[in-house]
Amino acid sequence: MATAKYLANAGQHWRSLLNSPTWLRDATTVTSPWRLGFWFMVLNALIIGSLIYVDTEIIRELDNQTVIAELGLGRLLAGSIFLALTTFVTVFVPVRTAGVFYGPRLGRYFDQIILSGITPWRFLMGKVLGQQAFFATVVAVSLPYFILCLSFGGVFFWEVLLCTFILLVYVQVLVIVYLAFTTFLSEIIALPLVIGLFGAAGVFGLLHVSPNPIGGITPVSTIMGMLYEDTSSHLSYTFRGGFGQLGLVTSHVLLYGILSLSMIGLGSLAVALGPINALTTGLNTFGAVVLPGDKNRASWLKKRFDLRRQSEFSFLYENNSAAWRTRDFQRRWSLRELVFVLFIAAALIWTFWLFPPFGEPFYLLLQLMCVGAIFLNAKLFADSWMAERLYTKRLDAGTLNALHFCGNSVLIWLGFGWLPSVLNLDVEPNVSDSPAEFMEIQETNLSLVTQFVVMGLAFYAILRWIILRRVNVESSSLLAIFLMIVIAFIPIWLSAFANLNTALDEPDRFPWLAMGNPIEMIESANSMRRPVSNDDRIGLYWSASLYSFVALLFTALTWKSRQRLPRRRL
Amino acid sequence: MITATALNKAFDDVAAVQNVSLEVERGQTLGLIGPNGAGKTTLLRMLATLAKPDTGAITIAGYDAVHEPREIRRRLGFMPAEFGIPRDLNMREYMQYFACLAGLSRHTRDAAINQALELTDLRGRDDVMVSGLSTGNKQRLLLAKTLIHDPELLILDEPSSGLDPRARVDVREILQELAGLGKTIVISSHILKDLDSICSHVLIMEAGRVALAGEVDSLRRQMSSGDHHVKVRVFPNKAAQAATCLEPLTQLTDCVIEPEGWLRLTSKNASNNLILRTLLDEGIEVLGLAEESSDLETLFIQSTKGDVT
Repeated sequence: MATAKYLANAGQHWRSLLNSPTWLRDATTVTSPWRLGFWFMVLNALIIGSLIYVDTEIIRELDNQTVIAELGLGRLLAGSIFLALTTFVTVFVPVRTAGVFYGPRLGRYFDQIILSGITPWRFLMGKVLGQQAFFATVVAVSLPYFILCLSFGGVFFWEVLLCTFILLVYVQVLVIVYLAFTTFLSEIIALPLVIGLFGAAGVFGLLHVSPNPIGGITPVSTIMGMLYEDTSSHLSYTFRGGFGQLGLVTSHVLLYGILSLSMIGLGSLAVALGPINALTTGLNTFGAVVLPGDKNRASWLKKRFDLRRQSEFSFLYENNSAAWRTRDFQRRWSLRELVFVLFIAAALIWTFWLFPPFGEPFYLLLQLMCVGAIFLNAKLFADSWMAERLYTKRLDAGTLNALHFCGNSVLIWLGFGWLPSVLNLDVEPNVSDSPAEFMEIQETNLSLVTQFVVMGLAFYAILRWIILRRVNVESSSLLAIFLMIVIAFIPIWLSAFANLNTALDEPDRFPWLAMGNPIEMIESANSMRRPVSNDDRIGLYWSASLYSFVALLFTALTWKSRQRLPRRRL
Repeated sequence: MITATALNKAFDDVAAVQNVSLEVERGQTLGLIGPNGAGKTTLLRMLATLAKPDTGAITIAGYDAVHEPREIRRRLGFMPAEFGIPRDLNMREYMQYFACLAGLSRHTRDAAINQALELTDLRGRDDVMVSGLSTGNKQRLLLAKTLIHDPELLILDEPSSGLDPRARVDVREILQELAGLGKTIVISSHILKDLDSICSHVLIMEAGRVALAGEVDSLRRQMSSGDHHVKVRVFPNKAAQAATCLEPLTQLTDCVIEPEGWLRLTSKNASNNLILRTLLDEGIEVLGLAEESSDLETLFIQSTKGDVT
């Protein structure tokens, strides 16, 4: 009985998705003749380009003759066609998905979409359905090339079928990740970010390392892996780590499956839950193009990438179910916490589990992730201004922000400074052989993380102050990063102007001048795996003082600006 | 159906709507009149849940517009003054797109589309591209789209704007038909004559404030203070004689001779029959008789000062 009810509900959901207007629109664009012609042209160019590459760079090289004989020319060509298809979908699936908000906005009917009461899920998921039709078109267009491969030594039928399925999964990953990005960022930013991210991962996928956790998010490493493994002369670089211990080193398909399903799952969750970092319902100014204070604001501060982004946020909030909206506080605050904790966990797993034996470079990666975690922490809590309502209680967002920031700073300190040392994680076997030296690393780690936390606090204060000036969150983040860079380099520039160019030429003499920027701080900390000297301490004191001052200054400015904020926004 | 209390909305330091309250019963048609910049569109957008009032409360069909906007949106059809269309669609595809948005199932969609197109006299033009439609037909199509999910409440912002006289009459007739179907309608327009024949109630706004509000007939009576105006036309050379013979009528308070033999009579309760009989008894031939009543234009002119925000 319960199963029947569940199935009936699932059927209803499915029918409701098929009834999505975005799917209806997409279906018409897929069959549009000029679009079909354009895609056909680009796809052909890519496939022919890849075949020419195989012909000129691989087949004609005498060294590769053994490889070609082992694989068969047909398989090699099929592999190159799949790589061309991967490149094609990496660019065109996000491009085709883009415009989910911008299209209606430019057509001036976004208000009508909002007023229809359609749920964001049904509206956005129509785009996922639309990509299936697009993928079917792509496969149909490339079929003649696969038939061509048959006459060049043939292909493995199951291999082609598996690669097609992998590409189909990849299309879902691309579209879901893009939609998830779109609910958090503007489409202008999300588009190059998604294409760049997956493009870079695809390049990593060409490296024959196993496992390949970066390249593994695209089909490239799987396609290449299948070919590499059937050649006798291939070199296999296998990372020692969790996957190796579990005996899953060579299973590219399994790694790809795990990573893809995780991304589809997390992406769908993000789309379903909406913009957790966005405005609360009470803050929406829906359709209002004039923001408080615009009259007195400099013209460049009035410029916004997305004048009506707030109406999109409002749509994503307001058109959800009543149950979804009543748990607004729990959803936004607990999920931003979850995002942060997941980031730290992923950083630790990435560094210690997947890349343990590489020592210095990956230790550097961990430190950079630590900086990333702190900036993420600052960013996640900087844009909430409303007094929050938890059941019947009203909570001040400023206090909640402060509590979260302090709590997360301890988490960063534990995650990046203390936990690796306590768990005895094998970071740098060459350096930390002796217990005394290991303790020195631990001390340096803790000192470094503390420094970064102070830096994060300064970033948080700057970002919060800029957001209060009502510049949108995305441009505020860019502006805050720019200000942080300026602050980091000001001492060096000043010293250069004052003819103290020794700061640049002889950084050892004035280490404190350079200590304002995170890279220099990491560099200094990495060279401090010895008893800490007084010069080093001066550098650390300088950095901590500089950023404490910046944090205090901007907190004071924020406090002053907040006094002037119209009452209704608080 | 709609209750709005003490609404205020400001854009920066410009107060677009100030302390506006209104009430619309189910089945009523409220006309929103005001000069440009009076705050009509802002008020309509707040009622349509597209803008949030800075202060004040809106309840529509028992739901709070700020906290339960989705429940209101399902019951509402909003026709904006600005016409936005998805690209490359013909009329049928356009209607299908909005039917999907409204959540109409595949089975009910076609019937709903046909009904809305029928009501707006657009049936049989399914393949015409929306971008190639005339302004009048675009307005009809927008109205058809607004009606597709059979909303209880219609909020129409300048539906006759930019239309030629023939198209205006058509839209007016459609709206009268909708009012006859029992829909609650809130409509704003500059063309007061259109509203005159549609609206049961009127709200005149100026500089963001309510200048006058109430039932149209009752407002007319209030504005005219119970006076009855009649214009009678006689041969111009008989106008003076006609004025003299009407003077003894006790109900008559004023009689003014106007060009071309017209006489403008103001009375408390003199019947037209009595006026006609008096003139005919004197042997004065009556060429025409017209009753004058306070129309919306008169109400508008009398209640506003020409201020804008």
